[in-house]
Amino acid sequence: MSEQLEQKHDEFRETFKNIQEEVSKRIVGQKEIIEGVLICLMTGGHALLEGVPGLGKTLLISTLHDVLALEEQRIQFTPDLMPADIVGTTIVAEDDVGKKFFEFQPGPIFANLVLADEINRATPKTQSALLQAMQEKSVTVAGVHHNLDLPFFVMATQNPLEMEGTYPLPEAQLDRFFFKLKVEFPSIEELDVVMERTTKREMPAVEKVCEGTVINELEQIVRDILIAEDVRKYALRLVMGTHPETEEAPEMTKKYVRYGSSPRGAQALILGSKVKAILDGRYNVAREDIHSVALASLRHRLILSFEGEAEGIDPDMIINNLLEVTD
Amino acid sequence: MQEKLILEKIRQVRRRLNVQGYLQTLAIFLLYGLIVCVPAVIVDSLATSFNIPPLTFLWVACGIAAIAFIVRLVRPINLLEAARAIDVDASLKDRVVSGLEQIERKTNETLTALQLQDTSKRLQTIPIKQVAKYKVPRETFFIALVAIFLVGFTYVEFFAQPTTAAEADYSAEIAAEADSLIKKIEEAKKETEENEDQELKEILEEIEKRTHELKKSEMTPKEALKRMTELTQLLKTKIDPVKIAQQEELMQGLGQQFIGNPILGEFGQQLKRGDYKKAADKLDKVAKDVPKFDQEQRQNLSDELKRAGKSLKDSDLDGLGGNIAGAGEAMEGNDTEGAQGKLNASSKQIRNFDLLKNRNQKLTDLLCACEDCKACIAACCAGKGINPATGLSNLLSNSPTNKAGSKTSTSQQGDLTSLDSTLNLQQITGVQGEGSSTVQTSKVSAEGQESSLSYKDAYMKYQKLSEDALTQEQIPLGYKFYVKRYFESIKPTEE
Repeated sequence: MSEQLEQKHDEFRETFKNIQEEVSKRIVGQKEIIEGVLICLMTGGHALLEGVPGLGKTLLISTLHDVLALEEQRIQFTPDLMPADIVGTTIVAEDDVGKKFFEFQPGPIFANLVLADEINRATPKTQSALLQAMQEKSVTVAGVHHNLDLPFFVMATQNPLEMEGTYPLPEAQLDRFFFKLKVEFPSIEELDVVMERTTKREMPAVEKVCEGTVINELEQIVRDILIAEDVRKYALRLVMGTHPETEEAPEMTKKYVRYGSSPRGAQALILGSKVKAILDGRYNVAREDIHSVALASLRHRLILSFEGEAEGIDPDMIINNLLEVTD
Repeated sequence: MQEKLILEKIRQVRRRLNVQGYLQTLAIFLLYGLIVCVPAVIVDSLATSFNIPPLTFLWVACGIAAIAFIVRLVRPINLLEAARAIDVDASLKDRVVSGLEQIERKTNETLTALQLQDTSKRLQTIPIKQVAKYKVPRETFFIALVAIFLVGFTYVEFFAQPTTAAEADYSAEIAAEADSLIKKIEEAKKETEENEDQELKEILEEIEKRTHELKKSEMTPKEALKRMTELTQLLKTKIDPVKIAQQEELMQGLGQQFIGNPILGEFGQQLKRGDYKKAADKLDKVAKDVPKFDQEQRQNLSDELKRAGKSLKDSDLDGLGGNIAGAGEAMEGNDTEGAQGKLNASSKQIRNFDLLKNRNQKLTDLLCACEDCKACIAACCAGKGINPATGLSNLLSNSPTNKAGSKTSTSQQGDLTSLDSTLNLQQITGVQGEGSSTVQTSKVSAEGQESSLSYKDAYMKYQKLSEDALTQEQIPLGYKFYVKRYFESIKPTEE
């Protein structure tokens, strides 16, 4: 029994590593982003990527599609995009005998991997169309409930530069993203490799590593990982430390934060840490795991106060301070 | 099996951490204790009046450390803390903490077994001695530093010049000072025998005994100073110059009331003059003459005595006042024997007061002599090179410098006036004639006069204030020596 479990853990690590390697064949650098996206995928969460255009966000999704053999859809969010354009709509269709009936035409959300490109360009109404899908992994159109295929993974992107004409994601929507990952501009060496790979006649070929269904099994392994009460409480102290009104909050939080992380933040912190623990060959979560996923789990769940906004405080600074002072 | 191994390892680490923790606590609080003693040692070193034994500070520091140690002893670290320490020291990434929790929960899941197996496997390869190393507390260096400082300050006086081997032994100087003091005590004893004051005799014998102890060959200046401080403290408890001065004032006031009286006038004059022995004799004479007085004299005397008695009511001389008033009342009631008895009792009280005043004066003189002796010994202690034959008072500088001196002249306050400035009032009885009389009032300030109170008496009244100024006022450390020297310089010298 224990050998089987050990084997499953080994398989998890191997699968994860293989996916990483295959994706890296096309995506140069961005190791942390790839790992973050994969952690979201393995835990049933969704990722929000923030970065300037042209850094390979769409390529990442399409590569994942090739590697995992999962259905992929890309939605380009624009101000005139409607909710029905995402979830689908009911249309009047005609059968062979000419009888008319209503037929549900599924939207692009009906895919395993959905890239919501420049999500902050659509109106809040359209953005909220993703809410139910992301949390419940199902959509309701015209009173009919439609389950989405698993695994269901949304990777949304937003551009931090062109803020004019955008609709910042509401807190409720942001909270549904497991991780918020910041895509940094590549170094000159990485850029050189990117040019090498992308200016040729053919793109590097990737191999299919595993079936999409395997991802669902891997998610169960993650959830079984042990976390000691002492470590769990540490994670909770971190989350409580993001709330300015609590005793655990350090001075910086009290000064610059208006609202702290929701319980979803704590869930992301612990589930993400569990993946990290497996990858490190452990059966238990360590504080180091929590540290490594704290920024991605909490940065989009903090709402800065007026003072914080005015002084240009980055939520990462607050989380780093929290990690320093919490013990 | 794995559980046992993990638990055993955690317990071993806990033991080592506890021992290390006890050592650490001892070191930290010993350091705190020593730091607390630093200001006390500096003050003790600067102020010669304290003379706290050097080991006292060590005991205080050890006491603080011992209390902290006991508190730490009753609060040993728990298994979770030990497990956390292993995780941190051996970089086991919370494996031991998780393992401990699984053991305490006693779950039989496969993952738990795997986790414990992984933890025990890693723990086996880690030597516990490396995880929980015994380390010398880092405070040790600071303890040594502070201890050296304290020892230095305890045994080396702040203003001391470097002593040489030749200057190290001051027992001869101390013995000389002691001899000088003993001489004064013997003089006082001789005078006491004339007065037959038994209590004063006992006090003087005690002081003499203690002074003789100063002549021991192994006597160090510090020890001598300590003993002199005890001696002066003893003398201070035996004298009360303020109370005596108040009572003397009352006596003079009483005398003033009787000066105009034809029968009690002489008694009043003696009282006013402060010659209480003579005053008592005069009162005894009045008591003897009571049967000879006619009714008018008795009535006059009765009124005077009652009035004077009442004036002393609720004062320090309430008893004397009661006897005087009682004599007046007895005289009014033609109780001659009663009046004589009360007057005799009053004269006895006046004689007792005279005895008390003399005792107070003698002890005050001795106290001054003791303080001088102490100052000389202190000067020896500071390496001033005092001539044991002449003492501090007669020291002359052979090497004049442009700096402030440290010695004072003996005649700084000048000699006491020999004039008897007591006002000698006399009432002249007569009958006013028929001619006119002239009254002239001069509106000018009174002519300057010498004080009837000796400088020594006045100083005794303010000595406590000057001592309080040294101990209670906020005087900068660097100036304390000069302030003290000032007060010593204004101290009356022994004639």
